[in-house]
Amino acid sequence: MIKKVGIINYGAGNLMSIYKAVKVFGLQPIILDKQNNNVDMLILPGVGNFGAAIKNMQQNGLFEQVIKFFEFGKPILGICLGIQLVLKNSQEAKNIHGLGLIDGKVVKFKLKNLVVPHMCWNIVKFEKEDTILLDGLKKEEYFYFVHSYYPVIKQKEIIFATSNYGINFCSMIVKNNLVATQFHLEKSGQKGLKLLENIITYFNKL
Amino acid sequence: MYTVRIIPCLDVKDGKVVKGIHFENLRYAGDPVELAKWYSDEGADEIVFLDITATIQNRKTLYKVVEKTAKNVFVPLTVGGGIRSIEDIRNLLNSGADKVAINTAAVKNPQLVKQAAEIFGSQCIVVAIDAKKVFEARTSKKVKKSCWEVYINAGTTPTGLDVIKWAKDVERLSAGEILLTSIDADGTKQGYDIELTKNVVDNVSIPVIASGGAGKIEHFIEVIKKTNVSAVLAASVFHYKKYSIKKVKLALKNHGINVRI
Repeated sequence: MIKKVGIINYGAGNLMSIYKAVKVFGLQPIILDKQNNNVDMLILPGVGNFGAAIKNMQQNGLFEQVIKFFEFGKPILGICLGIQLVLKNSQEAKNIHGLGLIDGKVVKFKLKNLVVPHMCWNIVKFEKEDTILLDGLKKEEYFYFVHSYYPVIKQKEIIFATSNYGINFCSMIVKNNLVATQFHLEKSGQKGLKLLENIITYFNKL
Repeated sequence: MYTVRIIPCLDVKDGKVVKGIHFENLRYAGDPVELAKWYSDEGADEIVFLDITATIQNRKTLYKVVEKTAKNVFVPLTVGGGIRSIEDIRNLLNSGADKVAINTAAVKNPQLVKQAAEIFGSQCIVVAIDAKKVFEARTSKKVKKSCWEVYINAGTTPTGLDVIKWAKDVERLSAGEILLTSIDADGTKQGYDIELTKNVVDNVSIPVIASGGAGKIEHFIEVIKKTNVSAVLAASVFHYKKYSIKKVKLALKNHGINVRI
């Protein structure tokens, strides 16, 4: 059973939203500024710059911890920037390698008639069925997005949900012990909390 | 497809929600903690919390109120009022704000916006612009061109800055969003300033939140359809329960506007 949840601190931005959300389910959130193996689950939270976040994690040893965590099959949740950090590289920070847990890259929205960042509630279309992750959720739900870059995933079968903002893009991936969303489930009202609850249940059954 | 955000705004003075007209004659409208929770549960897409009497002395009180308010809010929370430094922003984010709105300090020290965006990310930095119409210049014999001036210090101090020019500047400074309030329309319930809003939306490529003047559902529909604004903010109509957020959203949907319901 998951009890202690480590929230990785890249040194910039708001960790309180995810901290509060984790507490809702009776779990113990711990903000991680350095390596700490005494946690049952890791969260790579949203907000921040790809290059700065990776550099910060490399300096404090959390970069290695996440990779080890993944290899050991322990649960990892990535949110917003988090879904991007687990990929190989990003247009936001050329020459900087991501965690590389998943084969894919991060590219910038290039849209003619839409404002960037994509900052609004948008439809998340779940591409899978009959999973504990979708308990109490409809096939399509609104979640809150704030981002200028989006993930491009090579292995199509791990794409769990997609969204559209000028183009279709992957908004959620599930690969065994790794779940990641481009949207902020911790700021997406009751549906967001429900999805977080489902993810924790899913991790507990791994 | 993406949706237009409906945002209730809490103007907070000494820990209480108040509402005035043209930024004056404030009256009590509720408790921020209770109102924010109610809006969050009721379908608000975001909540804006503005400390309208922010002074250095009551900063600590503010952080406590923000913390209490944020506790029950699971939609994005923007907090503004009296922000002067990176440290103020950090404290607000640590208290539970997701974004901060900077107004006076952005005008006095534009580099603060740039620096804050570099540290916390553009998505986190909202520049609030309070605009007042000053004149209609004649660009030729027939064409009249409206002009708005930026006001600071809670709408009390004119700056000499042109709103459109300032809006372009804040985009260049990497602000993620503009919260545009018409001082002329604020609290009048006579509708948003369409001309002002359209002018700003057409001149920047970052999201703009229209604010000031909402009194009827038609006002929301009008500003969204005529200006292509990303979000609409309102206070009185929601606080005094004239309309629920849900009712406004259903009406917008019936008019073919994408909203989250």
